[in-house]
Formats: sequence, structure tokens, C-alpha cells
Amino acid sequence: MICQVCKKNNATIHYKTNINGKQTEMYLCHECAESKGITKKQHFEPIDVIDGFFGKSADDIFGGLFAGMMNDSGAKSVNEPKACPVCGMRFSDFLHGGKIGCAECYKTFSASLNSTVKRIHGNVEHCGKVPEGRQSEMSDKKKIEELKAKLSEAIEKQEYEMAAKYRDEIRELENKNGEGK
Amino acid sequence: MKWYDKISNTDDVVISSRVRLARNLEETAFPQRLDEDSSKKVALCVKQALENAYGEKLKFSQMNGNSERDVLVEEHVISPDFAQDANLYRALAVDGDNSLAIMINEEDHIRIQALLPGFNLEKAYEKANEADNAIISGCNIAFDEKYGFLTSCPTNLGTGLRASVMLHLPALSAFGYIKSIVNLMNKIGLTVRGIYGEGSEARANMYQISNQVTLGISEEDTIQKLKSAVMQIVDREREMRKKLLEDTKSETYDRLWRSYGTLRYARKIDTNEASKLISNVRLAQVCGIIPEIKDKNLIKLLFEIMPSHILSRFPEAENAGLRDKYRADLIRQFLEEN
Repeated sequence: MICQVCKKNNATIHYKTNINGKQTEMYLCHECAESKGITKKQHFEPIDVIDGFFGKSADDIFGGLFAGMMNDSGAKSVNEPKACPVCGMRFSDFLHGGKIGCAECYKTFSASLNSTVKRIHGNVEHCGKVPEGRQSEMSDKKKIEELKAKLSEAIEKQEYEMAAKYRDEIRELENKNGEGK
Repeated sequence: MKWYDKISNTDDVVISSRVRLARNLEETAFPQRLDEDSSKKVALCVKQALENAYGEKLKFSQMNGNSERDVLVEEHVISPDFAQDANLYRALAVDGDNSLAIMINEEDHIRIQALLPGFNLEKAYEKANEADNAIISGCNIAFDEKYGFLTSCPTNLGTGLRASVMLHLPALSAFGYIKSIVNLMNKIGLTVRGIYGEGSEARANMYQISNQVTLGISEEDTIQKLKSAVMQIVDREREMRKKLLEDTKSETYDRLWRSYGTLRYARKIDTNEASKLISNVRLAQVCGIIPEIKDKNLIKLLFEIMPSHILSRFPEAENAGLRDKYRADLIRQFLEEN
């Protein structure tokens, strides 16, 4: 995959934010990630960063712009929360007992769990059954991902009108899936 | 009628096929962190979904204090963990012969198991998948594009599918090949265990082979991969049986007939000895050595001599010594009956 910002280098960083439940993802090369302050020089491996589940955002990275577009202004940290908001599991509980607390934990501790899952299963993604009713959601998810890529590109180029358009499209798709559940 | 009543003597090596699917509900803590009220809600949701699809065909029961649960463990219908008392509501749904069992609030909210006689992995998957679809249509199942079905233990992520077969390997055991099979299977992502699951020793030369990996491989490929590995083991076992009967004919015949003799005439016998001897007699039976028992379902006998089975049939058999007597009686009667 090519870096979404410079469109030249290979993307080695998968950057995720979760703002009031709205997820955004970026694939960046090391340089672009560094220039955005996402990584420091000591990161040699691809990382997965996810911020707080409720209301914490990537404010400092996108200078408030991104968070503002997502109607979230008070967000800050890029660290994983201490406990899962649904079941209260702490990551240390998992390390201790080997069992995950609930489905939400997989999002809450996505960065830490990602490497665990890779160690168990290898660097792979699910292929197999998709529950009925989730297929369209899956293809919408892909559309959303593409739109998000376009959105960050537009932001990068400071084309705010286009960015607003993409943002609305993303919202529409996300709302559709939210209602469909 | 039990699922193992239909095991045929043409199932000479693969005794049974089993498929298990792990599923969970969204927005509800997994059973380990679940309180009693929420666990009842989980059970209700799953029960309604199953009743919509199966009507009266499934029988529901509660697990806490269930007197049948140890028997169900011995019959492989439920897991040993599921039979333990727990601080949450656990329920079981089974069909007429227990070949379909849905455990509610085991390690995951939902564990669907289909267990069929013989080498029938595809059919077992079909049966489990049908129940899965019924549950999916009524409950919000936790699923992630990347991780697949979300499970309490990350080792089950993806398809949540564990496919396994139970194999009778007396000849490969006799020639000492089990260890190398275990190593070989591990190398290709399969696990070999004794018949009572993790950590259990092989009883009656019965082994379980199952897939390890669940993420990044489809249900179909998982089953095909297991199937082709099992087919090779089956060929080797048949080859070794031939060799056993040809190279050491008199010793082997003597051992098998003596096993039969003991079972026919013993007045007290414990589970281990009985299992070992039944394993020998089953080998003799499928090789056509003991014609008078050619139509007997010895695998059924293997289940019926287990302690909880004896106890459920003879409630007075509370101590092991008494059970050994009832066991010997039961075996003699089983072998004498026409």
C-alpha cells in the first residue's frame, strides 16, 4: 500500500483514530507519519495507534482540524484507555487470564491485541463466513475506507470543500449501517 | 437415541466427526465477566432465535445442578468446563440424538457443536452452520471485518471453527508411530489429543485430531486440510493393521481373543482395563477375527462403561468397587445379547 499523504513511499504505518465511535484510518509512510508527529524516530515497526474510546481524539496530530470536522473538539490522548468502557477489562487482566472481556475490547485494546493476534495466527485477516446482513456493511466499510483516504488527502491539500463533501458521504454511509443493525 | 448409536463397523478408523463454532453477542461482556442477569438475557436471546428456526425440535435445559451433565461430558456432547457449577446461567440446547448441541455461556456466549458418526466433516459443518444462521438471524453476533467472529480467547478468532475427528489407532499405537504423527500434525497446524480433550491421555487408542488455526483460513479450507491429513493417517493405520495381522499373526490373534475372553467372563473390571480390552476387541471385530460380534456397536459400549454412565444406570453404584462389578455385568450382557 502507498502512503496516503505523499503517494510515493510504501505505507508502513497504519494509523487509526476513534472519535465518539467514528473510526478513521490512515496508511502513512514513515516520513509523513513523523512529520505529522504520529511516530517518533524510535518506532521501527508498523504500529497501530488507537486513542481513547469516548471523546479523545487526534487533536494534536491534525491540529484540531480533523477533530473539528468530526464534531469533536475536546479530544486529546492517543493512548489506549485503561479499561474497556463496556466490560471494564484492563489489558493487564487479559495478560493475566488470557481471555478477552467482550467484543468491544478488541477495539479498545486494538493496538496491543493486534500483535497478540499476529503472534497466534500470523499476519492474516479473516477469510470465511460473513454473517448474513453484514455483507453490504462489509462493502460499505470498504467504501468508507476509500472515502476516508480521499478525505485525508483533501485535508492534506487544504481542499476543504471537497473534504466536507467526503465527510458527509462517510457520515451517510456510517449512519446507514448504524440504523441497519 | 444417542449420536453414537449410529456408528457403523464400516467406520473402521474414523469413529466420529465433530465441528464446533464459537460465537458471541455484541455489547455484552463475555461469560467470564458476565453477571447472572446478563447471562440469562444471553440465553433468552439465543433460545428465541433457535426456537424460531427449529420449533420444538430442540430441547433446552439448564446446566447448574443438572444431573445428566457428567453423562453428557462422557458422551462428548458438552465440554468438561461447561459441566462445572458457575455463577452464571448456563443452558444447553440439543436435538433428538444430541448430535447438535448448543452450549450457552460456556467460554463464549454460544458454542455450537455438531457431532456425527463416521467420517462426515462436511455434514457436521452443515449442521452447525444451520444453527449458526438461525442464531445470527435473531441475535447481534460480534463480528469484525479483520478478525472475523470475535471470541473470548484470541486463539479462536476468525471462523471460530474447530473441526475434529476421533480416530481409533490401535495398530499405529502398537508400532509406536503416535509420537511422530503428533509431531507431523503439529507442523501442519493440526493438534492430536486423547479423546477427552486438552491434556487428556489417549484412552482405548482413541485420538482426536483438530485444526489449530482459525484466522486467515476459510471454513471449507479448514475442513479440507483436516480431511486430507486424516485420510493419510487412515491409510497408514489400515496398512499397519494388515502388517500386525500378517507379521505377528499368532501373537496378535492371541492378544485379541484373550481380550474378548476377559470381557466375556470378567466379574469385576475398571474403566481403564475395560477400555483397553474393548479397543482390542473392536480391532478384532473390524478385521473380521471374531465373527460372533460382527454387528455389535462396541463404541457405544465404550461410552456406556464410563463411570457416570454406570452411575446413572445404577444409582446405588456409588463406590468404584461396586461400579466395577456393574461394569463387568453390563459388558457380559452386551456381548451375549443377540
